[in-house]
Amino acid sequence: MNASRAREYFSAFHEGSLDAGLRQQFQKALASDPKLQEEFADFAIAYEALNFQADEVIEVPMNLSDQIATRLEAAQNAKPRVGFVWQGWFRNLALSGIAAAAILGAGFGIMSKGGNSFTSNMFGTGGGATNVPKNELIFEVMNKSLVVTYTPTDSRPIVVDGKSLPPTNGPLRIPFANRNQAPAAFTLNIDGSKTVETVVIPGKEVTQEIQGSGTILAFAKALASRYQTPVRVSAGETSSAVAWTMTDNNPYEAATAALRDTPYNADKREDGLICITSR
Amino acid sequence: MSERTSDDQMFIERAQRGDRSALNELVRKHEQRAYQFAFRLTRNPEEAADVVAEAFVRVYNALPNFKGNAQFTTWLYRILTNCFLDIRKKESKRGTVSLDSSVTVGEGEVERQIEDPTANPHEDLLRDERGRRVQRALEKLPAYQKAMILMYHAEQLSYEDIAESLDLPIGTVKSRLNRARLSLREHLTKDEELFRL
Repeated sequence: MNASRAREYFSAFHEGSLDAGLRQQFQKALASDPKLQEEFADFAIAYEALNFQADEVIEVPMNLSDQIATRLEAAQNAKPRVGFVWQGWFRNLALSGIAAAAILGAGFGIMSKGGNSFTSNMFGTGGGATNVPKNELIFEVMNKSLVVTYTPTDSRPIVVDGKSLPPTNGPLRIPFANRNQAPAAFTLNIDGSKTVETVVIPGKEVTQEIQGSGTILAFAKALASRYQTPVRVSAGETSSAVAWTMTDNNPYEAATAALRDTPYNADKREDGLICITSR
Repeated sequence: MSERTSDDQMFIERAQRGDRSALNELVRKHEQRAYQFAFRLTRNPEEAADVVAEAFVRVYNALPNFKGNAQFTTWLYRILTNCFLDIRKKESKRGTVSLDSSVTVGEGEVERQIEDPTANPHEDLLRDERGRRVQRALEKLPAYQKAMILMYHAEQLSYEDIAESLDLPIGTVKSRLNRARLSLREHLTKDEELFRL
């Protein structure tokens, strides 16, 4: 085996994948050529140095999802439309770059309600009129995340953390997830309505603290973080101070015990979603 | 088939039936990894984001024809690589030079830093210096070779995955990667004194 041929096997020899016959020929060529030995030594160093490329920490920009969503929307608009188009659907992606935590696309079909969801009709027109069809919200727990499906009966968009989501021709699914360490809270309200719902999504960090005090929102975050479960706060008044001790292993039992002597009440839905309401 | 691959296949099938949430899920699942690869290719945050956004548009446009013969990830790597190569092609037509691993600031030129948190300061120094030199050498390789090198060493794809991504026989991938490493070694010999420390 000459030097030129031997170089073709540098990688395979270094990786140990040369078969026995070729390995023997390669080693023989290497042993008889000091220059080739030097080349191979350099090659091996370069090879190993390349492997360190995998260790490089690359920060993903916060607005990446937004950029992708913008381009996808442009691509969508450039296509001829057949039937109805879910305007602004890709915007669900973009929100992940805006909020402190990410609101993420979830892999479930539109309006696949399933048996374990429940419906909230709290988002009426704001005036309490009973003859006006009410906008519908469905909350569904998806592991540590939550998906809210908004079915509008009028043109009012839903507002998440003060940002209006573009209106759709049908139900809009809003998946919430949180990639951060700390729990994240999101507010939802129908544009123009004073009724505000808050959803708290646990972060990656599991807190061990069992005692604390603060607003009901602070409690919801503590609960979400300790038990790694989404929490919905559906209380009209959220400023009352509460003190809590969470010793139970079950989040619902812990919430019930912690809120016993407070203006709030804990409820548990079939799918495990803890809902905090005013008494 | 892994769970991850199986999930991708499910999302693809749903996206092909017009379920936008499934496409969203695919994007969400793969955007970070896609960006990391794109950044390694371009060494430029804006350009990397541009490559990723363009790649997902191509995914969106090509999804109806995706047969599922390849894994979604390897298909995405192919699209990302093609987007990167297209950008480089346009740049070369405009007569621009490829990005170096350094940037010019008001008071002169500074090198891009490679974050590499390790314990031993001496090892850190050597690895950082080698890392920078490897970066510079990579910039001198043809774009296609650079992409293959990064797929294998940085993204840690197997030869089989790279072959699938680039639609090449595995033997071709191995021989081209070997040639790319040999070229890289040649570029590095200019920095040999330090490189062989």
